[in-house]
Amino acid sequence: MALPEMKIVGLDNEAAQKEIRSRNMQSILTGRADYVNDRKMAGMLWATTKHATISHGTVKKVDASKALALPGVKAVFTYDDITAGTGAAAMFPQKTVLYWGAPVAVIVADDWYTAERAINLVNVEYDVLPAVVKTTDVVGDDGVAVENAPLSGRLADTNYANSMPAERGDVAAGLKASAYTKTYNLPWTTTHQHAPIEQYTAFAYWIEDDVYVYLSTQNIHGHRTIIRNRLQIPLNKIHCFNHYCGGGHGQRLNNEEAAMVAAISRKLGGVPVMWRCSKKHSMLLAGRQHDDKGIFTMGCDKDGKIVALDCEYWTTNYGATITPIISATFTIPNLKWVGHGTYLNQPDRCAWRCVNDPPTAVHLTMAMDDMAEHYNMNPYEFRKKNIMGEHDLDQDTGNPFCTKEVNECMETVVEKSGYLSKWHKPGTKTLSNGRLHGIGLHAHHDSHGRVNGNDRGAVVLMTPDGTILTENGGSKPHNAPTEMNIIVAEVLGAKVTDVNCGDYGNTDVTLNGGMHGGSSFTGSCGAAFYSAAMDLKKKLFTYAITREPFAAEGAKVEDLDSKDSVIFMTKKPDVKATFANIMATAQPMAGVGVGWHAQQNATATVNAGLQREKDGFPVGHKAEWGSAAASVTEVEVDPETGEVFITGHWNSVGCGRVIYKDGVLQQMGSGSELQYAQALYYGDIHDPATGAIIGTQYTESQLPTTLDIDPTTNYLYPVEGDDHSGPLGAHGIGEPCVGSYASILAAIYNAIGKWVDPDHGACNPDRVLKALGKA
Amino acid sequence: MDNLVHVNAGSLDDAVAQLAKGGAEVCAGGTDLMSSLKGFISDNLPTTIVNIKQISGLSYIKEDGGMLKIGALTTLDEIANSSVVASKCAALAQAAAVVASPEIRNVGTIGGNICQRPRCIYYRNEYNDFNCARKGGKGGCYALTGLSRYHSIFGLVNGCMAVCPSDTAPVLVAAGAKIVTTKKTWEAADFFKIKGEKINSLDADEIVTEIQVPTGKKSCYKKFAFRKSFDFPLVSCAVVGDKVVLGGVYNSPYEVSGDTVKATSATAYNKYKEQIANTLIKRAKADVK
Repeated sequence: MALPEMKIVGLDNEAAQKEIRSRNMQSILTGRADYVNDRKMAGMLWATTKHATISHGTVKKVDASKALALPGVKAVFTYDDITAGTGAAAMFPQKTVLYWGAPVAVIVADDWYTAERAINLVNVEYDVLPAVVKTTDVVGDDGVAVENAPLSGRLADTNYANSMPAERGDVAAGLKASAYTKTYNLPWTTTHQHAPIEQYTAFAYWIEDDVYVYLSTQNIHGHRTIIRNRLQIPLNKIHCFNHYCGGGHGQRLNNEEAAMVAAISRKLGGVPVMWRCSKKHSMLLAGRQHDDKGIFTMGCDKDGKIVALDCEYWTTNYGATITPIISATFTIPNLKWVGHGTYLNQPDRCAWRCVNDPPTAVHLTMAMDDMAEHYNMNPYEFRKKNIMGEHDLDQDTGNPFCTKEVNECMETVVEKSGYLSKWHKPGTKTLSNGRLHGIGLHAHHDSHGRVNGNDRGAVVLMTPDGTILTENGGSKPHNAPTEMNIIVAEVLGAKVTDVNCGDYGNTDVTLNGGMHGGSSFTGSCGAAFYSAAMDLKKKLFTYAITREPFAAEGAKVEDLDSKDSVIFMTKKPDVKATFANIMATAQPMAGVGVGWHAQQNATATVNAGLQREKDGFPVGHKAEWGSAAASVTEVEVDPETGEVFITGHWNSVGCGRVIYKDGVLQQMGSGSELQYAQALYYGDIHDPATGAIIGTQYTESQLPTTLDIDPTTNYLYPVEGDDHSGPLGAHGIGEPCVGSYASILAAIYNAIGKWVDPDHGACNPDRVLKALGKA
Repeated sequence: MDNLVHVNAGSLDDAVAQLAKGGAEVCAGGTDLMSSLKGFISDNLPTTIVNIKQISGLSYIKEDGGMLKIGALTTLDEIANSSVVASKCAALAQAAAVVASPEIRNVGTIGGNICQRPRCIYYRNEYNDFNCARKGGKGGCYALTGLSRYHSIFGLVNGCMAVCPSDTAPVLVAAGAKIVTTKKTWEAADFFKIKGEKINSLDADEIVTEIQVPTGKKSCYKKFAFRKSFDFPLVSCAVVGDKVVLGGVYNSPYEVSGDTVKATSATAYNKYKEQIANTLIKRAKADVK
């Protein structure tokens, strides 16, 4: 099966893109988008959370008497009231405190400000335990575990666990056979949290045994399951609603605030309760990217081809799994990975949304750029010698990749940026303004974009006026559901503007479409909507041949085609009728689809396999999923202040088939800017004495604004290909520009001739000055 | 935010009378006060807000007898865009132009800018998780044992390591400005010696009414912050005539003698400020106009 032709939308259909853009933005720009916080109900109460002011210990006693004496305060709930028996739940009050800011009580009052006022009136006594607040308490800079360190309490009897080994070939032999080897002790990278625009919030009330919950999430059906598990009630008694969801995507998935507020409402007899987390506490509870450290030993042959790579890796509060950046970007015949989680009394960590690549990207870049210098190559030349090609097979499984665009991505940014003419030996170019010039490169294959159906379905409905509703299931549409609409339009031959989202954000009447993450939704539902649209098309054409003008022609289904919501005979294009004309005499018509089921396993194999032949591998053959990205950054560094000025930032991303161009560019643009933040501005700020995160305000945490990022220096290049795992060749692109972090650091290195130690934070000027020996 | 009494003062006398009752604080632009209140940052926050924005005659920029006179309610944006200020004390216009963000400069006043609370990351921590020395708490100065990256490199004052975050303060000290209040006329250098939680020596019932800046000297203001779009200065430097004053390095604006400074109590976290300060001194001196 060849890749279908895109007739309706495609990368260059500006008119269609404009229509979609306008439709998607209207509700937000006019203030008509409705959020959980907009809910109002007679008799509703407000709740907020008190958080721990120790980093490790046990709650001994909660004295709520002063809070309860404050007029308007209705109740104070602790672990014993609503958590006991349900196990530790991140947003529920805790008995054991594992980090500063852990929730310890929930206060309910007549209004939110009264609840907030009562926070400091709740007195919590703790049995305080020694806290492990720094990575150096657990593992030294030499990578050796610290002996006799106090326990953080996150694991039973250690702070140092979760080794995740992986190996191919014989690393020891490979290193021994190498012409040159070098060991790199690579610094701890940044940790920072999602910065939610909309605070964590949820609203619940009960009518008899049924609970009605409004929440801000990408995964409304998943929350219903969480509520069932926590409250031990049947799913059909749980009714979840969600419309708009304000930012922090990727972290609006499986938190437990909805279950908590449902439990509180139940405790209070079912009255409506709105729980809202303060901005500070939202930033404490939000998932954080883990900070990583590595010790890599790389060996190459006499020509600079990598022979072996030995990686030992550490992450904080998260398991250090090998990523495709290491395993599937370059040809490395002998590869070993040993990962360690170091568990501290700090908030939980997670992967950078669905990718855990940025720190690994930095570390591999550091090692490769240095290795390039040894071979008297520029970083591009060294990568070019080792990068995997479009038709290379997976080095572990021997399977083909659904798509392999990393080389093309790298070539794109190298060409567009003029990298080869701008690169120079590190620390050797001073500009006329006194600043140091630098340029950096990064390229990687990553784990985004798998296309499968799982067990999710899709329904599309053609109404009697010939327009189409899609049932997306989750929150009000953003890019991912829009993409589903486009797929339906493409398959049906409908105008894009004739396809709209039907009901959404209501678990009672929508399918479980899975979480609305951009990349995963594309994958999980894209195939299902494709199938549903095919089903509807067949039904529509079957009905159409009974109607004029097709009946008079004796047309058969296979004689028909459609475009721009018009059905026509392929051999007699003038014999045509609009969808509306055909449907005028019909009942609403539904198309139902399921994606193909794909099981994931440890080697990330897409069991559904290839949907089109690839490199001689037949349809159905197992294939490895993939996406790719590359980045070049050009900087100027002020050697007297350590300030870094980005003067050019080129990103390319392997997108498979581009379905929704605006969505791709938005995703790439925001991903690119996000990496500005991670590299240069933004990071958790810890108090080294207590472990408290003290940068919980946007001011202190140095979140950059749009004024910090010059959009005229930001260049985005979607690289189109054919993802052979999906019906239209598309895949999700998630956070595609995560490699920018590495290219920015590499550019600084190229400018100043030293690698900056992020020291768990961003490369702020003080750290640049330190690298320069000036601070 | 706590329940507050909001009073619209009809006159300065009315405002002073309201303040004298205790537990009250002036609100002009409110940009610093509101974030303090909403964040529950201290146990000593006011319960009464005295709004002085309706008092007429406190917003102006004029030159009078070799002195630039600026009403306390003049917004930072007005100062930043005033041709009079730019021609008579360029450094003040430059400083006002880089305070916070455009939105804040539109409502924030020069009076508020010199009467704000410190930006110490411990002091500002919401819900008063760190009840520090500046607040009269028992916690001492948390920066001493914790993160002093943003703090003083010239030691503590009243047990506090926080720095003066005002952009305009170093200019006013360097210019030898006077701060007129409802009680007296202060020399700027004395005005910014800290007494309580705020960055100056004002009594609780004392209100700034006018800033008087001597004119006729060339000047320049340079600011350094990690983030350029809006931020408080980590280090700043005002040069007016032959006077050089640093901001962001000490509890008060720090006067420099000579061409360079040497930090007297830098930590491993904030040693970089010395390098930045010396760079800004050099650059500000080169750019005076």
